[in-house]
Amino acid sequence: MEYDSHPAIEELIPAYALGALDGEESQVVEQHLRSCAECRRSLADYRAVGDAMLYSVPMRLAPLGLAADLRKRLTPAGVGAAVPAPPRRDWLAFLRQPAVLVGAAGLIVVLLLFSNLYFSQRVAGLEQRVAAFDQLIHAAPVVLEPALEADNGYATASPYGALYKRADSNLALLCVYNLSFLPAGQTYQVWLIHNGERESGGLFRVSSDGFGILLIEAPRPLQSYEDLGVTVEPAGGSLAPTSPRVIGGSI
Amino acid sequence: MSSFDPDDSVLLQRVARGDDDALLALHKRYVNLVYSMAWRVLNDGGMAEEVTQDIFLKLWQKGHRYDPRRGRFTTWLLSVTRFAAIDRLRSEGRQPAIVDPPAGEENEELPATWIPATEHASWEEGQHLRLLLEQLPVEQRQIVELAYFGGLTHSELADHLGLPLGTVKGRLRLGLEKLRQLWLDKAGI
Repeated sequence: MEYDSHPAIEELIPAYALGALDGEESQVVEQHLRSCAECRRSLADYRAVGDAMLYSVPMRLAPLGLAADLRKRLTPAGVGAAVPAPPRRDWLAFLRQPAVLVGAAGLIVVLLLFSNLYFSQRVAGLEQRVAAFDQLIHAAPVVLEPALEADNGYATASPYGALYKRADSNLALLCVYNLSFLPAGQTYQVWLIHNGERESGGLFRVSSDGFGILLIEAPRPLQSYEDLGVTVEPAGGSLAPTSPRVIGGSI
Repeated sequence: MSSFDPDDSVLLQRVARGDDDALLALHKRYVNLVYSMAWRVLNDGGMAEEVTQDIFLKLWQKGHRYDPRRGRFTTWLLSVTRFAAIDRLRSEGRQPAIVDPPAGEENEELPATWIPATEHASWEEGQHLRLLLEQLPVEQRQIVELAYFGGLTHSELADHLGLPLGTVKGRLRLGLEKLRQLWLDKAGI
């Protein structure tokens, strides 16, 4: 047999730790491990390397919407059964008359035509926005860092943000995390900076756990701006920043 | 010493009782880690999303199978993700990708603030290991990564790379031996 000695089997331990042995070799190693403490120690070392490799992957930001999708899949939406109203004899007799039926059918056709036209326009508009939104959330985010180091020493408590944008579009999606919950009378305001001039990108508030989201509709394409900053402003926003930047970065 | 994070423990117990808020809390905490692992194996954002969601659904249905005495929750979670992504790769009939080191490529990497503070030490160790991997000769590094992230055995690696089986075995063994030695040197053992 090819693997009949400790040195020969010891050479297979690294590949065994990674699950890279083919069936027969794997069985030979498993059998050998039962009686060889040295190979078990060696295997433990290689498994520690394998465990560390789990954390060696480049970190990527998961797309938005996964949590909402997961929640939907956990609790299928309950659809309440419509309860039909009890029929009324007099009205039924009236409705059964041919002239009434023809008139009603005509009215329904006209209403359907108008509603179809109305909704098709609405849907087309919505589809455009959904398509733009879809492109945004699949774009690589620009990371927005805190302006100052967090003083509590816990990195997860530091405020940060992600800006999803397309350079040629005026639309961008801003998500922020770990920002302080503001009292009534204050709001966060986004500033888009172009040649040193600041233009408002919109107002938003955050939830009690510091999460906030804003669809920015910029006055000009995003590629026109060099930087983005977020400040705390009085409710209703300001014409120019009145407090230090909370998070921001080059965009 | 148990490195099992007590907050995870509490959340997992709640998940086992059918508390969907607890599952969503775990999702918020670990979704980036899980997605990153799935992305690394599949090299495809869409499939990585699907595997990520499947992992959390599996946690919802079978999370009680996790035994904290057998290791850290995140190590278990990432292992399950790696195997699920490798299964998906196979079911799609796709070949694992050879991924070059990040330097010089389009870099979407994120700072450590995107992962829970409790995982920073492990993440830093992993990133250090990635640097050690880059010290290996390229032919050894590629084989180690294909075996680990692609789930390929010796014979599958030989087919995939068009190399003799003996060459593959030698490169994988040498690469892993060197990596282990660098790892132990770093740990001062």
